[in-house]
Amino acid sequence: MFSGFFRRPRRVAEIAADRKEVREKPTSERGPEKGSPTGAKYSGNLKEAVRRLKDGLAKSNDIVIREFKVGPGSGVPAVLVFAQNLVDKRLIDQDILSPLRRASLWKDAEDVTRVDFSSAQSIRDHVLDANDVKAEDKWMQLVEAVMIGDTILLIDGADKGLIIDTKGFEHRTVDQTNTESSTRGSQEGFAETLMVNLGLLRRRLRDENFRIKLMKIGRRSRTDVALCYIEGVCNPRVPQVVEDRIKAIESDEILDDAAIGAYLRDDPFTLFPLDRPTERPDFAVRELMQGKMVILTGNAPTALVVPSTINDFYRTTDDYVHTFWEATVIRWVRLVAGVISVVLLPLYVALTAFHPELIPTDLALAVSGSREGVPFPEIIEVGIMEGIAEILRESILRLPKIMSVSIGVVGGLVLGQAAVQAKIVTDLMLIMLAVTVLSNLTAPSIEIASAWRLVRWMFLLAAGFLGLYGIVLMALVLLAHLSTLTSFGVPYLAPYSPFRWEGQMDGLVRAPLPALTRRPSIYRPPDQRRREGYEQPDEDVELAPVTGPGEDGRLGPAPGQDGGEEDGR
Amino acid sequence: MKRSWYRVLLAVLLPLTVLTGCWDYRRLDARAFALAIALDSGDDGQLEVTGQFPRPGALKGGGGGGGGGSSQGEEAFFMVTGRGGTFTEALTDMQNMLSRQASFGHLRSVVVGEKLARQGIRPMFFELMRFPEVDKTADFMVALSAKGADVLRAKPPQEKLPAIYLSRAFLTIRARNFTVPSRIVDFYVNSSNPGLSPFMTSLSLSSSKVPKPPEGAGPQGGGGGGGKGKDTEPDQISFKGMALFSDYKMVEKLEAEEAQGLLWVKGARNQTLTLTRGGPGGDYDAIRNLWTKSTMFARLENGGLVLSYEVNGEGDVEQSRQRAIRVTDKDFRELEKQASARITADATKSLKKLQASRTDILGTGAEIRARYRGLWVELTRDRAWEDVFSGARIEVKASVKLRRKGIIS
Repeated sequence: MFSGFFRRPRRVAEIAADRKEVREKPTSERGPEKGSPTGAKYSGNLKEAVRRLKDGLAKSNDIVIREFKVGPGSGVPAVLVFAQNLVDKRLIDQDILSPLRRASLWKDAEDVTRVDFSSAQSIRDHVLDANDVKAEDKWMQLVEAVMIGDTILLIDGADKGLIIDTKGFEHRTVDQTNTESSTRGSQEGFAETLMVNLGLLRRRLRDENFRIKLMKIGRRSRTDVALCYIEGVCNPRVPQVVEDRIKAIESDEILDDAAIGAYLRDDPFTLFPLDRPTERPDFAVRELMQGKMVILTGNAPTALVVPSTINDFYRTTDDYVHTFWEATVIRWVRLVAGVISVVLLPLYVALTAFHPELIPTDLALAVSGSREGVPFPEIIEVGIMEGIAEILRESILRLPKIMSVSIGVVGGLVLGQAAVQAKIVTDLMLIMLAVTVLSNLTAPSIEIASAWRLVRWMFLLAAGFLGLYGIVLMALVLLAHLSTLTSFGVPYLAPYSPFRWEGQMDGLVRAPLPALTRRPSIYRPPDQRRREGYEQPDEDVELAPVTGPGEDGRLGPAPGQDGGEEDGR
Repeated sequence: MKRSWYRVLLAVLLPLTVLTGCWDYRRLDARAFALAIALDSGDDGQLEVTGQFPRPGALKGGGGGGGGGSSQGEEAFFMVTGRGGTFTEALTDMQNMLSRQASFGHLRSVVVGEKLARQGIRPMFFELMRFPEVDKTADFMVALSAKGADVLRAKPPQEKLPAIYLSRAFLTIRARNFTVPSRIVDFYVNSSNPGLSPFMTSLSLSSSKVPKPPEGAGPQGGGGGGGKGKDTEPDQISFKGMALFSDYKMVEKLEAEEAQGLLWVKGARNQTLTLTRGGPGGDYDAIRNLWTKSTMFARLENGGLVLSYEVNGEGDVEQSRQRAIRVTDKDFRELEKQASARITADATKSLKKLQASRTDILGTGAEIRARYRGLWVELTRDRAWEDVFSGARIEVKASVKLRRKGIIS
């Protein structure tokens, strides 16, 4: 909504031209290491290479340069370069050093002649035991390989260097999700390692059309990004646009998915999240099947699902593992709670301060009675309590976990109770605050929950100044804003506006799974049919009668009812 | 999308310019809610408006813990009486005695003293109708032989606030159809319909302490509640019947039985009809859950109007003590006949009284106007409907059917 304030809207072609410019910039202007001669190649001059390493990369003490000799006789000098905190040293010993040492000791003429120690390809093919080895002569690639935990082998006189996969750094294993728990089904959540995360997806999606596209972004951080989608299900424009936008990112650091999300979103200034983050691989796969993309980032345990509509932020895995009755009811609970969390306190302010005749008489008297002696007007009262709630939320989040419970008690009970006793706020206010905070947290995604929390402040201000009129006005502004939002071209309010029938089946109501035959058309999936309509075979399901214990004392089916097979076991 | 911000800005800012009326922020605890007002005619002929305002603080927790004793414990409400030539003047006078802004958004009951009702309530009624804060569905009633303020001052023990007592009682009346409840809007609609006369529910005060007939004769002192002795202070309010109005003046009152008689014609729900035989303690039959529906037929006979009401009722036999041993169809037919006769008699009597007071609160005229258009035009060509009505011949034909005959043991 507000992006117009800052930037003249630009035509697609203009932006595309701009992006092209960025892409076509010579690498020297945006390459990773300004100092080192980019575009340089390794072509056998080991002395020069070692000097260059020691001047640059190896100034850091965690980079190890292991110099040794390789080849028959006195051999030729060679170096292994690796970052000692990123590699599995056993792999280096077993798969690189000892085969090389063995090869140097070969006496057999046949063996010796077979290996050409001046050819990287030859060493790769005949000597090394490691499974993932690449010959590479671009200096930049070699240096980058060291940075991600690979080992490079440079041999004097050889035409190329070798990149050997020896990654073996400490990382968290796959664990339960922290923020998106479910009552049934898989409990796995993404870990911080990109490859592990991709494996989690692959395990659930054994489709040959499942594409994973790896990219590196961030001038200095060189973060791995994986774009995952299913070809033929995801509209081809989406990966294209995502890739374009990611390539256009000009930043030296992209530390996690949130940073990518901030660049990718259609409207950078909106309060609302436009990409649904998830910690759950099963959720990600379900979204992939709808025709969306999942963006995974190295070192981040969350995946971004794009494009996302407001509906997606109210979906959970639980919606699909319970009966559709249950799923529909909990969706409505979330919806009602969402509305309560935004308007309950503003309504309190508006009704008590502007329209008390709209409250039932008894309640009006009760509120009026409890407000007796409270020195602040309603809006200030609500502001104080909301402020306290915000402070509590933040402090509990930042505190060491051990202390958070006790602080919670102090903050929640003591502060709230004392505030009522001291007649700073009313007890009714406290109840409503608790309901509001709880309702807010029913949103399955913390991103949308915090967006609504901020929206609530706006509603409060509007209600404090204009009463019910303000609330209505604010609701209109909100609706206007929401309807302008898009996520990769998909309207944020879809499938409600624009209205799509098949979207309703998995919107406010979750239809039985067999009835969800079509993918949401708002994403324009090339393959629309998700499943054929299900028809249960009309069979007699009367269970086979069971006779009494047989001669062998076991219960078995009556004679002539597949008894033979049973006997055979 | 990118260019929509100024439209949003316009949508927000433009309405602000016309917002002066919405700027009515007032803290809840800066308002005094009048839950009930009483309209009375003062001794000097001035209008007295008495408002009943709750004390929110006293209402909240004070009931159990505070001094709820009969002596000087803090009351849950206070009353302020404003005087003036008009309703608005009286309200202004009342506001001058209040620390908080009087608010009538929660007004539930308006009680009119009989004296004022007999004098005529036309001017204040229209001021009341035009007063925007007042909910027009508030209950509207007449205090018989008392001042309206006395009713508000009476303390029925069931509720802390007399105003709450009144509105709850009206809810009960509405649910039980005991007598016909009236609201401000009903009164307005009735009085603006040429074929319909307005009425109000009437109530009377009595004291549970001294067995003395509710003699009325309210406080003579104009000082807003004279110093009456505690013993005779009325603490019972009963809803007995109806006050009939003509031209905004109370002209007649119907007692409870008379109101019941009208109810049969108007359409009763869930009523009980007891037929006694012999003296007290004698044989009796009761018909419960008696519902009636009536249809009115109008015709001209020898140039005179004949109004014929056909009342059909259905009910359950509740008690038939003497004939519990053998109950035959004949007995039931006999019972039905008696009930029908009783209803006919009651209804006729009440209708006669309506005729005598020239008030048609049943809306017979409105019905004729709707269903017998030609007749209506002819009848009211040179006479008011009330005169036609009072000169008409009344026929009531009631027939009661009994159900659940088999249940009697």
